[in-house]
Formats: sequence, structure tokens, C-alpha cells
Amino acid sequence: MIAYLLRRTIYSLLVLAGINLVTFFLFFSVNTPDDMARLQLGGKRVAAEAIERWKAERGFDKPLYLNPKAEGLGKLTDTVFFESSAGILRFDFGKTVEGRDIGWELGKRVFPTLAMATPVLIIAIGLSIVFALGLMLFRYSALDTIGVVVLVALMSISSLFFIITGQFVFGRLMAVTPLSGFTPPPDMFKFLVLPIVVYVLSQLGPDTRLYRTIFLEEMSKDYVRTARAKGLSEITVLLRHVLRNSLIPIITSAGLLLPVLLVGAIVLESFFGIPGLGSFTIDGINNQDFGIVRAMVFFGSFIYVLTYLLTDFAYAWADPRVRLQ
Amino acid sequence: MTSSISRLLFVSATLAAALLPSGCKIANQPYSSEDIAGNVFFTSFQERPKYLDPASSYALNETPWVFAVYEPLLGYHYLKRPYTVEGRTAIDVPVPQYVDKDGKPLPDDAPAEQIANSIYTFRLKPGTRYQPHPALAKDASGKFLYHDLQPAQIKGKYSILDFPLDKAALTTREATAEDYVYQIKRLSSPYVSTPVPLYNLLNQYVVGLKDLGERLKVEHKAALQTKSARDQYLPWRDLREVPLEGVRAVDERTLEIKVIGKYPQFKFWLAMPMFVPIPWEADRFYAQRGMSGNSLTFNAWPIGTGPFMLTEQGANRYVLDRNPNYREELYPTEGMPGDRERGWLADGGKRMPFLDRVVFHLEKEREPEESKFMQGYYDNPDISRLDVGFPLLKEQMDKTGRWQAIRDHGIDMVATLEPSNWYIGFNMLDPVVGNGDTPEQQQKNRKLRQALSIVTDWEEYGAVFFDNYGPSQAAMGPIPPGLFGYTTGEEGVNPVTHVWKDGKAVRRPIAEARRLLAEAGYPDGREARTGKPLVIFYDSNGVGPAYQARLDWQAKQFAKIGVQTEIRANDFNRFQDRIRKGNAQVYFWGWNADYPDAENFLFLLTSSQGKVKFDGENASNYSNPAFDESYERMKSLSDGAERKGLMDQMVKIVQQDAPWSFGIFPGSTGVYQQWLHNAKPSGVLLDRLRYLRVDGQLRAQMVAEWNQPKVWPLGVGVLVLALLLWPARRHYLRRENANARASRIAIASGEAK
Repeated sequence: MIAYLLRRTIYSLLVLAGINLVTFFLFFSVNTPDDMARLQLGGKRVAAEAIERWKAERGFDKPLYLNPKAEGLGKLTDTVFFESSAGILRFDFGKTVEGRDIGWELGKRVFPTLAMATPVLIIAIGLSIVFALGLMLFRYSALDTIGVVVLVALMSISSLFFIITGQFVFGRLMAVTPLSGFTPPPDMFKFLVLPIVVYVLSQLGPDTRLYRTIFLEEMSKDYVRTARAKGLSEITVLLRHVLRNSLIPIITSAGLLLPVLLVGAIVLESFFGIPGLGSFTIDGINNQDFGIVRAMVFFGSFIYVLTYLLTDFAYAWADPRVRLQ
Repeated sequence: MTSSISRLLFVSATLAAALLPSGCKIANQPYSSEDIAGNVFFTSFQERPKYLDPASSYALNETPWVFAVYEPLLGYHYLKRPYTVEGRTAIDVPVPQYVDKDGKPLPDDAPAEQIANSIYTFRLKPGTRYQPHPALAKDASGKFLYHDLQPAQIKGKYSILDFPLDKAALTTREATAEDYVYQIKRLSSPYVSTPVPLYNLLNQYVVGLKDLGERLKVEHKAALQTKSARDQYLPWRDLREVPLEGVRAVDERTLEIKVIGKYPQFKFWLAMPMFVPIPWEADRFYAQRGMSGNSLTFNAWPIGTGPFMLTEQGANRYVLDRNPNYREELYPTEGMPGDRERGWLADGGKRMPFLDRVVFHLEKEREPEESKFMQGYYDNPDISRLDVGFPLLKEQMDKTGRWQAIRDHGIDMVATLEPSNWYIGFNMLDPVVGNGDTPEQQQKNRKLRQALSIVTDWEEYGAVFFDNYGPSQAAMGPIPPGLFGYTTGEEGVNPVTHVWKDGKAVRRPIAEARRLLAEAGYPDGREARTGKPLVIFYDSNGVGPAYQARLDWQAKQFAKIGVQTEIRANDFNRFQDRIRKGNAQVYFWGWNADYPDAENFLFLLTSSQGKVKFDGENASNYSNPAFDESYERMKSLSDGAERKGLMDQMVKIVQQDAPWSFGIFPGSTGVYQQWLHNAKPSGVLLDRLRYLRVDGQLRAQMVAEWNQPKVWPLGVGVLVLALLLWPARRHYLRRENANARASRIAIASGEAK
């Protein structure tokens, strides 16, 4: 087990370092430090001298990858890449181009994201399982067909549609939830109801369809026939046997959902004015702020790596046949 | 049956109502009821302000905070138009004393070439005090509480509110002339990020500013060289120690600024936030090690003498509270004809500010912002912008969308034309549309530019992309209406593109453009010599669907005379880069006035502002010695016949040369709730917040009326779910109770499908 953990940790570090390099390469392939400076300084009265000064103040006046003017190891270390990457391995994300501390911003923004992501994760997975099991009860009937059509429809609709329709119907026409905004507890709940409903709804289609397929496959197994032969009711068969044996793919899909939720629902947070990690990412992209983009990519990758590790442990818990070596 | 359905509906609706967020009467209310009924102004912002340091801020979206917290020496009269400069922290607008090179006084009408310096002497208003701030906090013995902090004491503190003032005997002081001197020195300091072009401009005028900047730059560089690459922290540089020749505090309440030569427009710069008082104590406070790392800077936590102070800032919310130390300032008692009828003079002579608190909420998307405005949760959609009113104005005038709600809610819409423009520029360095190498080529290229100017129908552009009803108008030259130098009527018509007919300007016919095109060497849009079609490369400053419609429209305009257009869609950065390098041929751009003077538009066409040569603001790289000469004379003149004559001359020159197709002066629309008073829109006057007043009681009443929750659809939803469950239950029971054979047949038939 310890050897497995060690091996996975080393792999993870390599993956994170690789992602950091790729992020840097991609970002500076489409943006130059001059572009960043021009955007930050605004469209009016932007002079070359101002750009140079802006770059110097933020350390973007150095070569990106290799500094031929430096000596020895300085050729590698006196570069934008090294300067900006050295801190991130210590989880020091540096500053935004506006001078705000990214670590502090992350700390502040993680709560609104978690406040939305946690209920979404629980409700979306729970409801999807319930609906998928429900469809199992009526498999190959007209109800099942209608259910599948509805699921496909839900999958086909863009999440933007859910957001706009949700805001229009619940916020404007019915006036039962605020259109957007966020305040800390205790008033937080009323701001989160609509985003949670919208997010759950947009997840319901793909998740339920996936779980239905998983359950269908399990239903054809011999142990299900045996259970039925024992005289168990269909509900008991589904809950006690089929669900338990389908947990591994469900855990896998939930594991995939978790980082997406934690890194933030980018469009959702933007539309609902939730000051979470998603809107932070959007700000970073819009401002061509490399510090934010890299921090968010790194943070997201870290969560992914961690989730996959946890998923492996969850496999072992869910299925005694799985051994981590 | 009917009664049982009704019963079910009732139960469902009750259930649904119980599910609603409790704790408030109005379910969609984003703020507390006390705030809604209180003396609070609600508005939104789209982007967090980056620079709140008065030496660094130069973006429109930062102005609501900057102008609420700081107060410049001068400002604009709130109601009078054309804009009139008046004292803000200065008692009045000083008349400059002109002196010759020997320092001898000259009369007010002395020729500009004799004037070596203009001396402005400001008498400062008494009682101008700073907001309570930890930088100014002293104990009973007069010792500063927070001036000698160790990094450990700053750790974990990210707001100035983390430095409590309850133990302080003093938390403020009066602003003195020395504080203005300190701030003007900051403009040249390499320790502060002053927008370089602004610094360069002020260098030309403020005596000694350039020398001070050079000296500090050398000193700063030397200081940095002593530091390691990993630790670039420099301690506070006390700018009181360095002299600035042209700026001095004569006494505590008298400030003197010496300007090079004669520059009447200098008064407009004095109405900008660069010329505000800054206490040295705050500079010292923020310079402590560990402060900037925790976002404790002027840019995040400004300190000023203005009517409000920043008390809260977060990712989605900023709050300004009334500055308890604000001096007595009264609402104006005079205005323009019609202002009294609109109620803009009702508060004349009353003490400002009227508001206790201003709350800004982040709205990244326009739709929720507009909807919340319509629900009454914003008093004005976005106080920093006037273009957000367009969609509502259009809906109301076209009787579409929410027009009935707009009418019923009594929303006040005020259309205005502010000094700004949009235009098409021709790059004069380009061989096809530019200046040309030989006199013959110059003549041909000019005709091509004129032809393209005629066919670009800006009247249509205004109708399609702005509004049919607002005050937008096609431009006849670079000077917008409302500014001294603008000419109306027949005299103001651009003779190249328009003729005066039946009392109005009418665009010249396409045939005339064709004739000019042929004379330019492109009959029917083809090069006479080779027969190749003429293709114009048009650079757009943005991408996306919103731009595409405009680009299609533009291509259609040139196509009227057979000229093909190749669109180069750039994002704004790429666009700027192309302009900077002179790679654009024809481009679309605009300008918002820094101050309400025609000079601020005419300078965009001077040689010294050439983009490629001098990295200035003349994106067309236009150069005409006659224009430059007139400009140099004009800029040092006060408004009068001579100045107007020179402006007319300059406008005529550029109308003929056509470095721009003059485009459009876009209209703006301010939209305000019925309970918001004194809201007169302006694109120039930016310290509007102190004039605004809200009637919180009326707002609470209206909000309650407009936002009654409608829960019955939730009941219907619950009912539909219940109805769906019924056949499901029946189906399940039937399958459960079926015998093995029936069940097998059912499943088998399903699988066969």
C-alpha cells in the first residue's frame, strides 16, 4: 500500500510539473508579455515606455525559457518560466497582475464554490441514481422510453439555456429566487438555490443515462436472476444487489465530476455572480493574467490527481477484489 | 373531481410555498429589507477596479470609486452645460499669472510666445479632512499606531479594517497644501505606477517634474541594484525631502503650481484625480514590508478627502460609506433651463452627500443586471457607464420586450450626447490609402479616401447600431457637439461628404464617389492600369457576433462603388499591435474625451502624436504642417474668435485631406429609477455620487409591489410530478404481481425491440 502511494505521488508530481510547463507554453504561445501589459494598461495612451515599465515591475521583462545573457545556471533560472514556477511547487501562487495575492484570493473564493459544489455533487448523483433505478423498474416499457427521451433532451440542451431559462422563470417571472448575487451565511442559501437547481438539472441527463446503462448491464447478470429466484422484490434486487455491484463505475463518474465542480462552474458562477473559483478563472482569462490562469490550472490538476487517488481507494472499499499494489 | 383537483393544487402550492427561502417577505430580494428602505444607493459593476491610486488610475470603470474617495483641486459644475470648471478642494478656479523668462509679470492678454510660465495659485477650502484611516491613527501621546509594524504584525491582515481605530486618539487630519505637493511628486516617482503618457504630458508643463522624475529614477535603480533578485523590497522614500521646483506650498492653505508657457487646458487636468491631496503618512504606512503582499496598497485601499470612503471590497461587492469628516459642500442652486422642471434643482443649497452608503455588486452579464434593475434592485444599472441604457431605450421606443414594465415602473431615461466619437481611420503610411509619394499620387489617394468617406453612410450606421431616437449624429469633423469649436448648420457641413439641402446636411450621391474613385485611378473599383479589383484591408478592433454585423455593414458600404473589403478581425491586443506598427490600412476606432475641450480631439491628428513615429495617439499617422501650426497656436489660446478661427481652419484641412471618415458622435442614455433624484447623466463629470439622493421608503414600497412571488407554478410542478407517479406505481404493481410467464413475455418483447 505504501509503495503504491509513493509511486502514485511521484507520478502525480511529474504530471503536475508537465501541466505547468504545458500551461506556460500554451499561454505564451497566444499571448506575449506585451499583450498582457497593453491589456492591463488600457486602450488609451498606452506607450512603449509604459509597457516596458509594466513588464519590469512584474518580472516579465526576462526571456521566457532561456536567458542567454545570464551565466551558468542563471541561463535557466533567470527566466520568466523559472521565476514563475519556483513558487508554485511550494503552493505559493504569487500575485495577480493587479498585485493581489492569488493564494489569498483562492482561500476566499473556495468557500462559495464549495457551498455550491457540495450540494450539487450529492443531489446530482443521488437523484441520478434514483431516476436510473426508477427507469430500471420500468425498463422496456413506455415509461422507460419516455424517460430516455427526456434524458436525451436534457443532455442536448446547453447549460447556458438552463441558466437563462432558470433566471427568467424563477427569478423574473415567479420572483421566488434572486437573479444573481451571493452573501455569506446565513442568507447564502437563497442565492444558491437557483444555481444548484440549474446545475443539478444540467447534470441529470448525462448522469442518469450513464447510470441506467450501468444498471442495465448488471441486470443481465446471473446473480440478479438468482436474487429474483429467491423471491426478492424488484426494489430489493435493485437496491441490495444491482446498486452495490454498480458502484465502481458510479464512483469513477462521480470522481470525474468532483474536480469540475471544485474548480468551479465557470459559466454558472459568471451568470449568477458567485465569487467562486470559476469566476476567478474567467477573470484571469479575460485579463490575460498568467498568474491566475496557471494557478487555476495547477489547482484543477491537483484536485484531479487527488481525486483519482481517492477514487482508487474507493474502488478498494467498494469491491473487495480490488487490491492496491 | 374538480374539487379534488383544486384540493390537490392547493396542497401542492402550499408545499411549494413552504419550500421557498424563508426569512424575508420578498423571496428574490438580494439585500436586507433595512438596506432597501434605507439611504443606500445600489448599482453594479462589470469589472473590479485595478488601480485606485490617484496617480495610477486612468480607466473609466475605476472612476466611481476614485472620484468618490478623492477630490481634485477643481471639478465641473454638476448641472451647467457646456461644462464649467469650478473649485472642488480649491475655493475657486485661479486666473493664472503669466510671467516672462525673467519672471516679470505679464498682462492676461500677453501673446503666448512671450509667456515663459503661467503661475496658478490655489486657495484651498478650509475643513478638508481625510477619512478615518489607520495611516493617520495616533495615540494620545501623538505617536502613530501603525507606522512601525513588523511583517508578523501584518500577516493575516488584508483590509485596513484589520487595523482597529478604537484605541486611536486621532484618526484624521486636515489636508494641507503640502499634501498636494507630495502627490504631484508621486506622479514622477518610479515607486508609483503613473501612466507614462500622462506623466510625459505633465512633464511638458509642470516646471521641474521631469528633472525630479529623472533624479528619482536614477536613485530607484541604484537602490534596486543593492537588493537581491529574490527580495526587491525598498523602504519608504520620503518625497518631502526632494524639491519640486514648479510646485510649492505657500502656506498651509495656498498651493502654487508653475506651468511652462501658456496652456489654458491645464485647468482640465486639475479636475482629474492626479491632483488630489495625499498624506505622506499613508505613503509611509503602505510602504511597510508585508503590506503590498497582502494587497494593502493605495490601489486597493484608497485614502482621500472625498464624500465617501471604501469600507468593504470583495470579489463581488464593493461598499462606500459616507466619510464622517467630509466638509460642508452644498448642492448647486443654478442649472440649465429645464433642470428645475426635471427636479434637478429641488435640493439646491442642501448639504451633500445625500447618501449614507453606496453598494456596488458585480454583474458580469448584462441580462441579470438589466433584470435586477427592472425589479428595482439597482437604482442605476452601472454608474460608470451611460451606454447601458440603450437596450431599455430601444425596448421602450420600439414597444418591444419590457416596454410596458419600463413605462409602469416610471423609469427615467435621459438621452445625452457626450464628447466622444467613432470613426474609420486611413493609415497615411499605406501606399494605397495613405499620403502617397508624389504630388500626383497624393492627389489620387486623397480622392480615394474622399470617395470611401462619401459611401460610408454614417447616418445609416447610427440608425442601425445605435438608436433611431437618441441624439447620435453623423460627424462632419473631429470636434463633437457641445464643445467650443463645433460648428452647426450649413457652415459646419463637411463639403467633401455632404451638401446642405432643404435645411439639412445630405450625404453626397454615390455617383460622386464613383467619379472620385475613377479619378483616383480605380474606375468601377478596378485599378485602371492592371484591371485588378481594388481590395481594402479593414482592421476590426474586436471579434465575435456583435462585431460581425458591423463588419458586414462596412463591407457593404465600400461595395456600393465596387470596392472589395477584406476584413481582418483582431482581438483588441492584436489590433493595437497592428496600429502601433503601422500595419493597418483602414481601421475602426474611437475616442472618449479626457476633458471637454476640442483640443483633446484635434491633438489626435497632429504629427507629434504619430503612432508609428512617436507612439502617440494619432493612429492614422496623419501629418500636415499647416494643421500642426494651427494646432500649436490654438492650444495656447483661450476660447475666443481667434481660437475658433484656427479650429475652423484645422477642421477644413482634415475634411479635405480625409485622414478619417469622420464617423459618428454616439448618443448615451442614462436610466434611473423613480426614487433616485438628481441623476443628470454626464460622461465628463465623474463625481456624480455625491449629488445623488434616494427615497428608500418609496423603493421599498415599489420593490414589494413589483416582486410578489408567484408560487402557483411550483404547485403545478408538484402536481404534475404526483400525476406522473400514479401510472408509474400502477405499472410497477402490475409487473410485480404478474406471473412468471407474463413477465418473461413482457421483457422478451422489450428486448426484441
